Amino acid sequence: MRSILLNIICLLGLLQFGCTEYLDEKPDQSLAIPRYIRDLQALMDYEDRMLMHYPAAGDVAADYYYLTEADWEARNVDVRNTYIWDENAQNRQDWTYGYYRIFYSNVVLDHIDKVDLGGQSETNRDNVKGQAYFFRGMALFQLAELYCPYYSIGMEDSEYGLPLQLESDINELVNRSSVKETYKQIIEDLTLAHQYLPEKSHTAVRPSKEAAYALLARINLVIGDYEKGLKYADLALNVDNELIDYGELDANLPFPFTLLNKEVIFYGVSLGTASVHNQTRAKVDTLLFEKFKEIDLRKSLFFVKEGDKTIKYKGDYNATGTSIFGGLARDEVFLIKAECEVRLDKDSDARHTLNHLLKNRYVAGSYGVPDDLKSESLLSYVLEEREKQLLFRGGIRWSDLRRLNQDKRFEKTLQRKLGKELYELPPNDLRYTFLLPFDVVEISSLKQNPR
Amino acid sequence: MCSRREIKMSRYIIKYAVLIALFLSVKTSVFAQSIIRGRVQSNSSEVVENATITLKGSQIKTVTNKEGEFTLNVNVKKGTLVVSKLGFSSFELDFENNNLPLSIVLSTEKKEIEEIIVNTGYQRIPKERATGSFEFVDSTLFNRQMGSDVISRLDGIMPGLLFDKRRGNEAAMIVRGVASLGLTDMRPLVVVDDFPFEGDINSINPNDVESVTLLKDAAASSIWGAKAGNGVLVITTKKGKDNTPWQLSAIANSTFIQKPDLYYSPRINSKDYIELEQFLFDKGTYNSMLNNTSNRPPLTPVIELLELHKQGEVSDNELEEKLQFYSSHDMRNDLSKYFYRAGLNQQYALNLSGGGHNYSSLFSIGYDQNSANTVGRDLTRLTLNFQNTIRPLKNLEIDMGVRYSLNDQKNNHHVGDLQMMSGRNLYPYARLVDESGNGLVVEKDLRGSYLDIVEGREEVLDWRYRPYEELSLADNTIKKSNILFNTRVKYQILKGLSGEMSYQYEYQPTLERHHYSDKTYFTRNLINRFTQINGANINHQIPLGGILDRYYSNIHGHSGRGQANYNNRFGQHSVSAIAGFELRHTSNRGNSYRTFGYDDDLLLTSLVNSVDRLPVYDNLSGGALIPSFNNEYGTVHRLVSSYINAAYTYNDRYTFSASARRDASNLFGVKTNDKWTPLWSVGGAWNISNEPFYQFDLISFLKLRTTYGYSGNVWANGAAVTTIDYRGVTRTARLPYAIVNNPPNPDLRWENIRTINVGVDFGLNKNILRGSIEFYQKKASDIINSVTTDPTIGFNSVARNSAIVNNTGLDITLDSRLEYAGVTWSGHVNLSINKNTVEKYLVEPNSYNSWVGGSGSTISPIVGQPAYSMVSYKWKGLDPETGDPIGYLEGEPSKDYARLTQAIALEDLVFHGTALPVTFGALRNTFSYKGFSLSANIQFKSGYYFRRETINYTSLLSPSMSLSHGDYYQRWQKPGDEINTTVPSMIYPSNNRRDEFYRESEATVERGDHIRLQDVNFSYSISNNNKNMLVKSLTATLYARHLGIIWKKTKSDLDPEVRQVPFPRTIGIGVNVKF
Repeated sequence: MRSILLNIICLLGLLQFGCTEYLDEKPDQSLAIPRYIRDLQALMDYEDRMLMHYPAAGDVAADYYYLTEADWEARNVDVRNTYIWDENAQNRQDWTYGYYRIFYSNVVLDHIDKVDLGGQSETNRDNVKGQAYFFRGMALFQLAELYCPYYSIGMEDSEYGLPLQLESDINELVNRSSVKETYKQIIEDLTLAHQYLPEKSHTAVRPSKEAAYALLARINLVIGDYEKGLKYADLALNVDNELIDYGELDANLPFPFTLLNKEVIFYGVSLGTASVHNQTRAKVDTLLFEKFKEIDLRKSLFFVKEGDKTIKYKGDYNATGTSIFGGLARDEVFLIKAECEVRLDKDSDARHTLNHLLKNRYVAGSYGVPDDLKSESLLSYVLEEREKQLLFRGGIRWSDLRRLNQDKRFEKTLQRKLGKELYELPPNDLRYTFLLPFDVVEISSLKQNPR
Repeated sequence: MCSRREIKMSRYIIKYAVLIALFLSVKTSVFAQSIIRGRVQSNSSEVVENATITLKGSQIKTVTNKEGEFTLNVNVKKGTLVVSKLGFSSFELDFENNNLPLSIVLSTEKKEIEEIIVNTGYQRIPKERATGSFEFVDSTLFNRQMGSDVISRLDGIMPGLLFDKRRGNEAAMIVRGVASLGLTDMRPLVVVDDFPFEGDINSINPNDVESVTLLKDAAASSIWGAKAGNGVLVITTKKGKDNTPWQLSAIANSTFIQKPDLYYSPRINSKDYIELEQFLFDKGTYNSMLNNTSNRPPLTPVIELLELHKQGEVSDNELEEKLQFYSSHDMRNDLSKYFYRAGLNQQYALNLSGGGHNYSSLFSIGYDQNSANTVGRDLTRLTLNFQNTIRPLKNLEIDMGVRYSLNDQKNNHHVGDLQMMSGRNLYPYARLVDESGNGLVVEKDLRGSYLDIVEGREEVLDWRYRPYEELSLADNTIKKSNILFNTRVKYQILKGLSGEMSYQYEYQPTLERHHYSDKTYFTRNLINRFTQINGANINHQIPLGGILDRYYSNIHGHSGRGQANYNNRFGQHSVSAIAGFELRHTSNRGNSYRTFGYDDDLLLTSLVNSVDRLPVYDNLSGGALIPSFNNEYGTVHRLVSSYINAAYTYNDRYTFSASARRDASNLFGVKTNDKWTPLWSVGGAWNISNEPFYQFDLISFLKLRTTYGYSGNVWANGAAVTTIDYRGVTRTARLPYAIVNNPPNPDLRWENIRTINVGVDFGLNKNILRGSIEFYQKKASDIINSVTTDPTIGFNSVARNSAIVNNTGLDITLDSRLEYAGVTWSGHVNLSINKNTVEKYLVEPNSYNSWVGGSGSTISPIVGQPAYSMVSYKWKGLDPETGDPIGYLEGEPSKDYARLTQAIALEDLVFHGTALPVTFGALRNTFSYKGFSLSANIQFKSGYYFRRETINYTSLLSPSMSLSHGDYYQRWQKPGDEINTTVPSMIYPSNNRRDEFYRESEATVERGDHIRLQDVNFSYSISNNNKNMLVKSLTATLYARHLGIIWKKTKSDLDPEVRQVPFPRTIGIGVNVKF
């Protein structure tokens, strides 16, 4: 009897050897272990993670719009607090989505050199690698603009940098770096990105060299490296410098601009602002609106006067009326170039750059930058045009407020009025740096930003 | 091959006797008076003393002497003797007096319990010799409950099996506490006729079920390996019996289901709701919506009215009058009258079975027609079942069976869609039907005043929403078939040794169909939204006609098994062993399609442009995609296993058992399969009452048993490496995209469950009382749980082998039976105690706030606490000045709700205890008299907590004004109220964190302990032994279920097991006829 049983057991053992192939079948047909370049490209194309949830907090706190008291009251407490710059205001979503994008980039970077071509070429491999560096650099920059104190070249370093999560291993958690290290990493990532990316992508939902240049131009402007800012703006415009002629647009349309229009270099949406920046709620700041002259085409393309005399914004490059464009567009690159030129004392270049942009913004033939403007007054002029062109553009105004407050000439005290309450945000206030999410501080013992 | 399904066992009294008439002499008697002699012995050849011998139909009787002999003087030549003795089955014998001594063998009644043969799905074991923990339900007990599904009939009849109804699901089972933390399935593995059942368990007709065995400990379940960690429920269906005359039985029953009680959950009444609307209107909350001339968001009639009043178009009086009118209405009245009804379930079944000496067959057919208590929800089910066993050769047995079921479901109710825009509840004063029964318009996606403007435009189809009309237009069906084919070939090789091969094929195709005809609001709205005017042309970008959505899914399962069985007895030694291997392959493929311009009569369809963003009518929004959801998916699960199981019994007293099983699957990588150690178990049993020294008469049967072993749980979604999942194409660029499904997690292992079981089975004083008591310890280590992480790593939560949960408990069953003056009482008690504690949590706890809240229906792995732990914020009370809720931060009273709800310290939390009952069970009393039987099942659950729902001011005071809970009336309104209430004051603007703090504080936790009358069964049976009568027996039954709570600990009006709508009461009547 015993020998029979033993035989059976041996037989079973043999059977199991032959089963390896049988068990190689993947359990979910749509599931894959990243094996080919296309698998990693598919991760980079995950729109909801990589493009949609660009930071919102800075735009909720920015000064180009206001809410009625009733609309403010109906928002949730985090949004309400952010709107009035409450010192306990929290913005968890911007942090988590930023790090989601960093994680996806890390997954791609961890696999990209190992995966098979799968019918594609090494150029495709480089392209995907470049995309990952781009997304990581961009996410880090966006996070730094919210959660790190303002930094510019030559400034003293600060300990409140970002945790630089550069690997996809979920068991590796890093501490906060210094702000200088944070910006060093951002620039490193984007520099690698433009080395790997193609000049232009067939669709603006994918990063390109042009996008990396445009982003580097923005970053260098923010950190006060105007030479590099100008260099990258030029590089970006060398790829493509086409602008929309606003004169050709129909101002009667509810959304005069289309999704992925030809000024869009890289598409992104600040979906998190939806509850506030919905067309029906966010009213355009009246002082800002008054800065638009009648011959300015933007006045009718961007704005609608509502029945109750409030101004509604409809000039969004995202064209939905519910959330704002948060990507990169070419008009911004022109404005970066012009500002860098003024700051580098190249007034005539700046005037030329600005004229090129503005002739596409004003009624044909009606406009030129006034000749008497130079250096400081020209700079003020560029900054005003910047404010007028780039309102309701995710991530830009908050960043501008932070950097311009460093300069006594351009600093601004923000004010909000709700009923009888008046709220103020003086220049360089600690509240210009948002608090890290409470649970992040709790779980990982990261040092909270000062208040 | 499939197995000899029927368990030949059962509590039925096996009446058998052997009569040997010995011809000692031949002598004819001429006297009327005659003497009958005889001897009575037991089936173990022992003398039976004091047995009563009665001449049937007379008072003539006698008893047997010490040698078991008797003589009886009778005055007839022919007749029937009745032989009875306590502890034995009574026996009847026809005699014809010829002076021959009779030899009568009585079988012991003890067989009644011992002959239970439990089915593990791999082998049948007499419970007497089993070492493991089995619960057994025979068909009598199973059929005591009425209903069209198998699972709900098991509620309250087995110890150790808890029905967790906290999520409103009547069929969620938990066996012996918590051995998984929510990510893996907590249900026991369900096995039907020896193979795991992958399809919809509701496709099994309960009338086809012969018995159910629950495998609770390692020795019982480790044979099922990596799927058995949560216990195994083995369902055995009926089979034909050898050498049995053909018998036909018929069942018919009807169950009436009460209309649901929509008023159970307290709500703010229409009048006060309207006052709140006025409040928000005055605050200007609706201004942006009222001024919105692009999207035209809908507004309630009251807001529209207030706006008209504000503009002076409605006078004060008119306003007052109309508000009065709205206030007087409660939508639930209309819902209750027109959208719900009393339900009716009808069930019919026929069963024909029988067999000869080398074959047996069973054929059954069942038909169910269920009308739910929601209008439009109907189900019909047809089941056909044909099972055959043949023995073409002496040693060869072949089983073959096929089971088919067709479920046809109609989901034409409209209750879930009764919303104003998605996610916004309809206003409570909505009128759905007018006095003459016509459907009324209610607000839906677009503002009524806008629809007034577009109404009558040539290009626009009727754009109004009339929910009551939708009810009759709905056409949603699910057709699900299930085919189960099984076969088994068994060959007896030598004495005691047999080999068998079995194979099962399961196929379950499902077609779900949602047809929105051109008259439905869904279709009209979608067509209108995508209508464009080009000059004089009307361009319907979605063609006129209906919309048809179809979802297909196909489950295919192949299971094969080869097994050797060895059963033999050498004198005092008996051995029973099996060894085998198994392959399983289950695939699930599915897809979904949407078709536009569909016409149900002509079968027309057309194409739409679902790729480009298209302009929306009147620019009601920016360009949009026509919603389509074409999708394909598929899964394949494969499992290879080998197993061995052996038991040795010495002298019918000592049994030792051992089992081992090894699994490999495609769910984890090869590495994990290699690491996998076999699951094994050992056990022993000692039949003390069979020992010669055992002389204790009071306890006539006593058996001790114990087991130790391991079983496992596979988590289908875990992987050690990064896996990605393709999800279709993106919205903006229409590019295929994938998500990271699983972050790389090289350390992930299978869940491992160790069970120790110690049990004692006993029978008292000739089985007046019998029962068993089992103690177990079930330790689940490497439990996979979703662990909250710092989102900085890129994930909010990650699956990790993170906890050890220890369950200790007792399962007690007692059965008693007494007879007096023709009345039989049988009582049954089952009592289960389960204490589970998280012993170790392998991941540092990082955020205490994640422990708090929920309804205890999510698992919080807190060391030292039960797995389903109810944790709350410590509650100080309401601020007497403001009515603000006050909690504690580091021991200090605080109203800093942001920190209270996000950065709480351990000391500021309250650990109530478990949200799962610690003690539960049922008491069932049955009284029978002649053919009448009355039985009631009383269930109890205790030692646990639940969280009641309460007010959410943030939702209430948002423009969409949802979640209008009736705690509003208990809210703090003036100083002094804090003494009588815990409901915070209403503040505006509201603070969602303040709401959250109160909602999850200890003030909303209640004790769950309660006793309920689960069901009552009253039946009458008559049977007829006359072979010439057509009807052999008839049973009529009245059955009522969900009768209500007898006692509860909470002082609130709430039923601890109900969240929204109570389980409706049902009353059934039925007959069961045997021919």
